[in-house]
Amino acid sequence: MASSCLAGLAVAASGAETVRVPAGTYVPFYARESVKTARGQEDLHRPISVASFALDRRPVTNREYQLFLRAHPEWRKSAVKPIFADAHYLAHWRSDLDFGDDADAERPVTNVSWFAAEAYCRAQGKELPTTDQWEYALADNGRDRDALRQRILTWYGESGAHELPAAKSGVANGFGVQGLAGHVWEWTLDFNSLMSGPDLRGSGQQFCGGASLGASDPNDYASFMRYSMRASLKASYTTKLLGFRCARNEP
Amino acid sequence: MTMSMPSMKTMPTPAPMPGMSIYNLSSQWTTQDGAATALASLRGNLVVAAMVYTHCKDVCPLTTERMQQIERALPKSSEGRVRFVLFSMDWMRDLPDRLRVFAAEHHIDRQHWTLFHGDEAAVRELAAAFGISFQRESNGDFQHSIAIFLLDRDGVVVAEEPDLSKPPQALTAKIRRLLGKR
Repeated sequence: MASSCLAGLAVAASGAETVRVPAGTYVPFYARESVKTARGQEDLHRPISVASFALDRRPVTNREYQLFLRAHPEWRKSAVKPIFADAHYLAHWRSDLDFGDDADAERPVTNVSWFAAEAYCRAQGKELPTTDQWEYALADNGRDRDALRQRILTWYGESGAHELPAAKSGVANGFGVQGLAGHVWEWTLDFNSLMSGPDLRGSGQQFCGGASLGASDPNDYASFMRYSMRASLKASYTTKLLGFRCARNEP
Repeated sequence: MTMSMPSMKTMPTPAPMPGMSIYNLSSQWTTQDGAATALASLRGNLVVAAMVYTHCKDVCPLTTERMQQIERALPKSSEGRVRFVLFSMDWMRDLPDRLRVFAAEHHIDRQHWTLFHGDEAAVRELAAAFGISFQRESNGDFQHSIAIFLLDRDGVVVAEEPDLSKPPQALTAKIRRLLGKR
């Protein structure tokens, strides 16, 4: 199914290279909604269909974000409104347009809020990928699943201990996408869509129609960490290990 | 010395918008009467707001009911100084016609209330700003977290009530205090 993916390489007007991810299905870690099996039990393994879409080949870098800030001064750290980004926004930058050393230029930009990431993507004529798009791209049609999970867990254990790698480092997966695991955590368009899962139970929030469904694979600790991380975010949060990439739906 | 433009005299310079104001959002909304409106048009009144969808069978009607309880508990003198606002998260189905039907079904007093329709991007932006979690299901319904928000005259969230199991007395008391502090 993914054999033709490399043929889909394209360079967007913004200069960020995108990859065409072909349509397919994947089983999300948490079911999106309650579906019963023929026996009346919760079906936690129902695949989700994802239409083909374009995804940035790698996370957005400090240099690319600097170009955005030149054209959109309202997102510079001295100007950004606190409702859109917390006080830690671009904390690693020396000043409004100075991201630091040359080596930082090609590293993924982090310390950016959801609002900032979404504004960046919109300026490129794109959007943040949905959680389904992002997770589907990571799942890579199940290729090397166990090795991938182990790599993610190793990275979770080490992340923060080293300088970030360059955005374009690392091997491309079967779709031709790089850095989904092992660089930074990434924002998704609907990071705030998680309605089930253990971390929300007893959180005191009330839900309209909220189901509380179990995980499709309780042994997939790497996914559990990722879904829990997303559920803990607010749109104005920024942290030093949270970056993003952009996507475009096909018409 | 040059003459100032006549309009300059009559238009006071608006105070800068506080950085935490919801009215910094650029999204456009449409009222139940079909009027395109920026959020900042709500500036100047206290606003009691919630995000709902009108096909919701359980919690959303309760949200509206709780807001109506606040409305009834306020003194007559507050009339025209507190606005009740429902933002629909259902960008597909809650078009202005549908919002008018919902308003009629729930005996919503349109003198004091506005119901808003927005596109998907507007809904996502506002939900992000309010900290509302939501998800559109395959049948078009939504799962979403619940809260009634109180915005000050500049659109800053000053109180939030996520517990709709009892009458919203704390919010009502807060509105009374803010009305006193003109």
